[in-house]
Amino acid sequence: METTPILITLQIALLTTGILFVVALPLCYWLSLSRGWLVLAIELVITLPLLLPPTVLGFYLLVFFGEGTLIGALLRSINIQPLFSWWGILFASVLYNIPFMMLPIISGFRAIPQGIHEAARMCGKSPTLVLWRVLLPMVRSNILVAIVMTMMHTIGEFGVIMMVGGNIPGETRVISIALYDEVQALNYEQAHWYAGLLLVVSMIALVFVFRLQQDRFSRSLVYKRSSTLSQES
Amino acid sequence: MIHVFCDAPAVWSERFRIRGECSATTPAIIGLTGISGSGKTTLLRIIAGLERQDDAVPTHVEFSGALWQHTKVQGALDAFPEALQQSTSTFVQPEQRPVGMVFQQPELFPTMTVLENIRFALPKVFPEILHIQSEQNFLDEIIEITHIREFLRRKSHQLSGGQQKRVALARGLARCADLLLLDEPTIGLDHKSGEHLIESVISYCRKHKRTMIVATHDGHLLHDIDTEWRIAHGRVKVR
Repeated sequence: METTPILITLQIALLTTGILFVVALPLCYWLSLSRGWLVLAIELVITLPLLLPPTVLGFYLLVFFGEGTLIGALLRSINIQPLFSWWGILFASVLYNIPFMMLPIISGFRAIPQGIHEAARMCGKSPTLVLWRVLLPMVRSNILVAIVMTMMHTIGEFGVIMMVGGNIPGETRVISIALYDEVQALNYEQAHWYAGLLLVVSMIALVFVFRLQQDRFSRSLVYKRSSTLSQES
Repeated sequence: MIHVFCDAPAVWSERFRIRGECSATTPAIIGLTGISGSGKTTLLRIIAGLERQDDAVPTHVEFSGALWQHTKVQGALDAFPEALQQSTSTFVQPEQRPVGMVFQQPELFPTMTVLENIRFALPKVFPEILHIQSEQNFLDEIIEITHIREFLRRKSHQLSGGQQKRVALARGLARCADLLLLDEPTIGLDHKSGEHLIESVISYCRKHKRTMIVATHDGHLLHDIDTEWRIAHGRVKVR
């Protein structure tokens, strides 16, 4: 098993998650508080990659960054190769993972009752402090789920990368593509190593997500029990 | 002096309006009474600044010489009594009004312990006029009044409804504000401890010269108030 595809995969996964997290968190907070057609339109756009076949997104990226387009020419003039390159698959992977990062965080913010927002304001604290001390801790497990989902989804991504990045060893050849290559070459022993690695990492991530959900579930049970007790007394 | 005027739709219905002008010399303990659904919560939220501030709702809130809110109404010159008319609209954000509020639902912050909930409401600096010796002394007094010492380290989901209510009250007091608004503070507590709690909060407010408005539909709880604001059939009246 080669280590280069593993390193590239890790680089892309960590960077995608990092970039998305920094951009998504403030945007999610704003979306959760706002209403109107603009919010609806933005939500539609950010949810789209969830249903869109990866090859479709890849195809439009090819068209968008092609030789003949203004943006493609502009990027090439400053020596950034937007297609069939490491930068290309990073950009595509950020786009493709927007819903996996944003949707759990938005739903976390939206689940916070209006009364909590009001009670925090009535403590005389600035909106920034309220966000930092009250709201962010309440969406902590949603943020963790979003990070794990984005990370795992990037690690396993195949379609978009195949379309936009191709299969350039040392540049765009990530684990899932290396696995595909080995199978094509009937190198099943090598393929087993890549597949096994992805399987184990995915299982660990899933156990982590399940434990987070379980924590939330058992906490809500304790809450229900205590409120029924107080009604009885 | 506290002076409130409003002509506002109720929280629960656009068609039902609460109209009236009420005032009191501060510091004072004010009882806000009326049957359930008469608009007590709406009035408290207006004073706190939590109600909407659109042009259709003439509102005037003034406390201790500071104008917190004055919403002018487009095209309706006589919406306000003459003494209250202002040339411009004003709105002070809720977090900038010196108001401690205890909601009907406790609304505790679930990720914090009881003590952290209370500490969150503490002001950065205590007003000098209050002569507070130390933060600990201040907290101790609040904790004694509300009887929450034995569960300071617990989180809200480990408390009963009544306990949560008392923590919310402690958090409202910790804000150290000149005006304290209580919305049905005794719901969820048994009659005796509810009465006891209200009595100790009233004497705390008197001692520290705070103004308190307590909304309740249970008139028996209010033995010791200075003024009563009564809401009936959408009208607020001072009694």
